[in-house]
Amino acid sequence: MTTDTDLDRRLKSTLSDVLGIAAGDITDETSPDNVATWDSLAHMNLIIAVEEAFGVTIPDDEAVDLTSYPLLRLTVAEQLATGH
Amino acid sequence: MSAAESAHLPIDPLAALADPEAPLATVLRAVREAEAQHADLPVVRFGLSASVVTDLLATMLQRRSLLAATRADVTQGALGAHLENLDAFAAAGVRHACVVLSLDAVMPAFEERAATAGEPLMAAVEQRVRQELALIAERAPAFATLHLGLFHRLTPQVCTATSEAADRAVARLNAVVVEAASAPGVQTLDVAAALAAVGIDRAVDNRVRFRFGAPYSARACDEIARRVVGATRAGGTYLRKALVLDCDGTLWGGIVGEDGPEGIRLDPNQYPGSTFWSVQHQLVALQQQGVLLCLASKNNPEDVAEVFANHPAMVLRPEHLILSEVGWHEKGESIERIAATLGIGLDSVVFVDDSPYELEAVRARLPDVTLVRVPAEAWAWPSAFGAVAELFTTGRSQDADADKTSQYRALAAAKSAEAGAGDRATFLATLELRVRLGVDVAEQVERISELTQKSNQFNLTTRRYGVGEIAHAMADPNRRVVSLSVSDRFADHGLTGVIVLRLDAPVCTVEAFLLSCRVLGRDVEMAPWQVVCALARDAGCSTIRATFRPTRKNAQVAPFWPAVGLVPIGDEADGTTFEADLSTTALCPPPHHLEALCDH
Repeated sequence: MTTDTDLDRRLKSTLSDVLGIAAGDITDETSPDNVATWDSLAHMNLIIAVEEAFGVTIPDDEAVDLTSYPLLRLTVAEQLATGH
Repeated sequence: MSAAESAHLPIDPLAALADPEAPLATVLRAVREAEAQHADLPVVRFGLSASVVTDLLATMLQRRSLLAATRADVTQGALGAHLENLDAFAAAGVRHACVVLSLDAVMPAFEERAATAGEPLMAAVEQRVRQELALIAERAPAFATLHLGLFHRLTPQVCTATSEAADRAVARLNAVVVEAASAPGVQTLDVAAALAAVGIDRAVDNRVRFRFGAPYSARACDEIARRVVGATRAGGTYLRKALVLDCDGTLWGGIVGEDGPEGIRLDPNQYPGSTFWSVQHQLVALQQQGVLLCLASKNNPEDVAEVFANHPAMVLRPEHLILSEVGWHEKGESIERIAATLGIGLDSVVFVDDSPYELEAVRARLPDVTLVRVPAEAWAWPSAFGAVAELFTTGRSQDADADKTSQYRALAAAKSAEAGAGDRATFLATLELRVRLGVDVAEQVERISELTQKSNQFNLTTRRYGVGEIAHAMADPNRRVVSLSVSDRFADHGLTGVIVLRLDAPVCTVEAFLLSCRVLGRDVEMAPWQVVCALARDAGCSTIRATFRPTRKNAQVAPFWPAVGLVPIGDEADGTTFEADLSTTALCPPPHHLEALCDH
């Protein structure tokens, strides 16, 4: 098992807040398929909340496709990197 | 504990909800946690019908309700299906329905097309909106309030011809909304003002608007929700009635005891007097809407009286005030006396002062009083006063409510008559009380519903009825709605009591009995029972049954049913039931000092 980075901790905390699931339960397998509360409306809130928490803008094309925890983390990391 | 969990610090959910800058993730979590922690709060049922996605508005209604010490149970309607939604809300027992109208639902790209659409199309649009709104307004009686959102722009621009045409078109449609909102039980909701308060750039998220059909940002939703919860007075859980004012630094600049009546700052043409002068105008407007204005000031009574009577720039005059507590006693004491004299609860009182010390002293002594601090800078006071006015937001009110100051003044006069009249019987005899009973009077539906929403202290079952429920009860052959209208030689107190009866022979059940606190202490509550017995017997009933349901506020009526002549027959979880056999028992007759008339 890999150690959580600071990015992981913050992102999991945001997911936990928005979706109402325990941060400790979030893994690379976490996706709308196995989280009942992760519906399209929650997804909209999630994108807004992640942008707010990290000060990034998730490109429109990608926003709808971020349908798993690793995809979300990858995009946030990219945006943080290009933002510098 | 894993590293991920340690990042998740505990929060105080209510503090997080009160923070306007709280991020969305925090708000979502805090709403969940606060609802779990405060599961015992009273639940207020909202229904939300919108032509755009407003899920965040539902979340924010929960947030604002929690901050007002209630829990919102929000039912989301289907997108744009207002009539079906309202019918479903009514069937589900929703108390407050919100209809959020949107221009794009009326005509796609409305704001951009208004300039080129042409009159025939706009006239057709207007006609369709009028028809739908009439059907929406027809459904209002099923709810305590139907909040009808005004049309509003999402992309206002400066002075282009297109933008001006859009403004004109919006004004035209809003005239139709205002027309529909004149129906009983309908209130407009100024969405444009909410968006403007947030700032249009922060209020409308165009990406989420076009991609998800959800134009309002979290912050905009929060501001709209704040207004809705305020307009429902937290779903009818409170009603503020009296505004108690400090004088120096609140009504005028300077200190009258030191500067003298001529030295205070109240010149309309000069700062800072101009700011106080503006606030006084706003106070008079509140008084005319029925808010009871009182003074609690540490001053020599003659100084304050001199300013009110003779200062040329005063807008407030003695006739605007119902009670003045000017002297050197504690302000908390003054406020207690004011509440007692007016017969209102301390939670109906708002106190305004510029001194943090005085406010803190009142808070410590009377935690139920709502406190407002005058800003330290005079220029901030006229706009900050808006927050005071919002505390008194009420639905449209009929009957005698607008003339409340004179009625409560009569009450205060009657109280001092009581103090001077020696024994109580003599006092009551001098009042020349008359109680007029009305049975199923259709014109009284709104006032009766309003009274059932507002009365807490003298209320045997604390059952709230919407306008539609009262109308329905009046039309039902097995139910009767009896009103009590009270007058005495000091004032006409108007419709101040309600009884709802269910006549299922052989049992007549008293569903509700309540009186406005402004007619308490005169045995008015004993007046109607002979008439009630007659109504019961006419319907073939031989037993009268009634319940006392205790609440935090109605302890004073616990002994009421035995006093009328009913005996307890059993305790349930939520109250005690009483009964009397009408063939063998005579219920209490009207007291000698009052005249009871029945219009039936």
